[in-house]
Amino acid sequence: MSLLSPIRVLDLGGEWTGFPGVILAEMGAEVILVERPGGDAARNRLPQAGGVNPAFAAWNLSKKSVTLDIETAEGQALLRDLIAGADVVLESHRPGTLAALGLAPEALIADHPSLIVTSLTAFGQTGPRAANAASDTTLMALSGLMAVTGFPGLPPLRLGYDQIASLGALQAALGTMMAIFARGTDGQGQHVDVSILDAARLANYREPLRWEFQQAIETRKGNGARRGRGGFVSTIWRCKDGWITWSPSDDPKRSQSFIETANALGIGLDWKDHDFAGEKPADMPQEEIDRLESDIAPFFLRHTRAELEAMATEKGWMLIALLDLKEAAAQPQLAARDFWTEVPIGGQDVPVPAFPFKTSEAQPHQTGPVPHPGQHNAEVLGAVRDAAQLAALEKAGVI
Amino acid sequence: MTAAAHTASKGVLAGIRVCDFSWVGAGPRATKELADHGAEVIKIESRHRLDPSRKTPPFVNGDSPDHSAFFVMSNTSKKSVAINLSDPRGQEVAKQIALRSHMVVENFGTGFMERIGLGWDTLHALKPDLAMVSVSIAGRTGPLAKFRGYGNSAAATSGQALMTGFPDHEPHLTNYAYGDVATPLFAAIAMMGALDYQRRTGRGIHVDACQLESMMQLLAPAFVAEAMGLPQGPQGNREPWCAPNGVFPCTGEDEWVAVSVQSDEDWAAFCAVSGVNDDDLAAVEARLADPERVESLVADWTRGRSAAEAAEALLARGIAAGPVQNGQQVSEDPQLLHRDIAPVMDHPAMGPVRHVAPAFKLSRTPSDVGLAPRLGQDTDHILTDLIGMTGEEIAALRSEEVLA
Repeated sequence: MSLLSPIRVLDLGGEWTGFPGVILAEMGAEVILVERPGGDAARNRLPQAGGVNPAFAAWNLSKKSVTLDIETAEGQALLRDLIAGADVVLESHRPGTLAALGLAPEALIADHPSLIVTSLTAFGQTGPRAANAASDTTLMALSGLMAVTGFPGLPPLRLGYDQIASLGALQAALGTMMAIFARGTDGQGQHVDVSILDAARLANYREPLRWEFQQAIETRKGNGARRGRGGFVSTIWRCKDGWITWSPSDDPKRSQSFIETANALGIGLDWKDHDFAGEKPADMPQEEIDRLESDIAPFFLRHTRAELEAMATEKGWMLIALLDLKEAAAQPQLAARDFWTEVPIGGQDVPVPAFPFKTSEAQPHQTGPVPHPGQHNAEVLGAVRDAAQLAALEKAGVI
Repeated sequence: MTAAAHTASKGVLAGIRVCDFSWVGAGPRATKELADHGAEVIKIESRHRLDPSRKTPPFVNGDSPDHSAFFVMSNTSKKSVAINLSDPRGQEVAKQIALRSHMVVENFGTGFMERIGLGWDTLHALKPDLAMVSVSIAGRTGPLAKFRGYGNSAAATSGQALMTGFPDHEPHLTNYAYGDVATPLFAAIAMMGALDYQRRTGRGIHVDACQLESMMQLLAPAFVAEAMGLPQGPQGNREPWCAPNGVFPCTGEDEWVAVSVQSDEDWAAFCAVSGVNDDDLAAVEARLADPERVESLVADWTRGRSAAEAAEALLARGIAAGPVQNGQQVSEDPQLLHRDIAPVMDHPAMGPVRHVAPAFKLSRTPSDVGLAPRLGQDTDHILTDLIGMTGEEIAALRSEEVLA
């Protein structure tokens, strides 16, 4: 049995919807992607591998697909009939777009009181920015996160692979599940109005507070973090075969053990007699932290990540290797937890991440392939139109 | 009708009780979402093992654990019961609360709940329909089940840190713990799944949600591309499918505007607004092939403008743009104020302080954001009304630091 009620979700696409549909699909919903005839434009984005855009594939796993032209009257009528049989409509068009097609969320819910409509948009349905164009990058900029991401002297930096859009996607899935729960109580649907900018603002848990209570503006500090009363300590270090994360921070025993190990190799001897309990590195002024860090940097360069991790485990240093994608994917932990599912994408069997839960009894996830455009037309549209009607719609280019 | 109206005024999860042992970021940010929508989330905490969030600045109007504005961000709308879980009598009190709840949430190290007699097997045997969600760095099973880490550990081991940064430059571990803000949303989704399952089947369920796998799910496009033979690496601010995309310098000190040209129509609009006239860049393939050139064309135009001016001119042409805002600008952003994302509430210890609201609005069952609790403020009420302890019993345990 799946974790989520077996519900039907129509994913109307738009600028941002892919990911929330995958979440609901993997948790047990039947999610039907409604695409324009020929397929969603995002399918054709670069890069392509085997005729497939990998990002489109990743955010449309486990769904079904039907094609219909929402701009035509017949297409709208067909969509209305599909909506009549759906529990949830997921959409991410600019506010007002659906209304212009006679498909306003409020009107759909008025027609079908048990329907849930989730609108995932950059700014939410109303407000001074609501009609504006936006991207993952411009939303990260507006959220305040970008100003503090990156390195001194370089431009503000974004997080790769549309992380801000993903924060909105997760909020959309969560809001939809809450609406599903509410419907389980009284059978009534509602409109879920999700703002990606709001989601990013919630993720920015420090900077608005810093302004409000300290009247201070933070800048980019690279890989430096303030862990005590002093300056910024480095959080990553270059070693012989890559990078590790570790900080000379606030645990005197850990610092002492580290210095003794480095000293044995003739490194960091200036700190041999430093009283780490009396003066923690995280509490030292910036010049002293810089001096300590440049003194101990050679220790890391002399060792591989594996050697450092082995020492850290033995001595309790809290040191972790930075992994690349191949290394991350190959971690035995993930194999032990059956994390990867192979699905056919673009002519290859591609391992894809499973939805990240294990449970004591429900089926944790149901990961399936990426549908071709209109792959499920006969099955899904066939329930609301007979074969002759479907043939006519196809001939007219509506589906 | 009256009952429905009452339910609506308190949020969709009114009537759902959550016994919440979670602390720091990953658990509390998830249970906050439930509490803001009406669940009675009872935070079990102790001054003997203080939630580090309560020790994190800024402090307002005092410096005790009740004065951290930082703590408020992840703990709105919750109740707080003070219980010392290292005392067996405290463990028993906590167990009584857990057994009267719909769901238990915890993010301790693997094995801790079992050691204090509150593990899944024990609780499930006593209350077969209980839901439980455990949140950890790498999961409760497998060779890394006992892995202890912090917010950025999963950024390191998921591949995210090495995928963030400029090409041929050092990787970036963000100053904020992205894992601690993104993965709690997965945990909250898991919690809603567990509640749905429990109500539908009448059965209990234990969900094991972890940061590593959540972070990897967020990188799904990268893993799929890499597995399909397209090597991935840090790309700075660029997008693989459109150009130019990034931030561009404006007139002020460290002033930038973010711009995304997402189609050939966008590029034509940019050319119209800027006077750029390069026909050979009209197609996205050409712009992706020479990103430096298109980026310098945009920078030449933005450099003489303020970020606000530049963004406004581009937005007027339908091009995605926005100033890179700092903490002050975010606090004063008209859209975020319109959405009332951070309403000021009068906290009994701190006075007026911002409490953050959910990122989505439910039209029929709106959220009901309440104050973040003072440490132990609900101890007497919960122990009396929920588990039926007498005033004398409570006083005795309190005098022995069990309820502290």
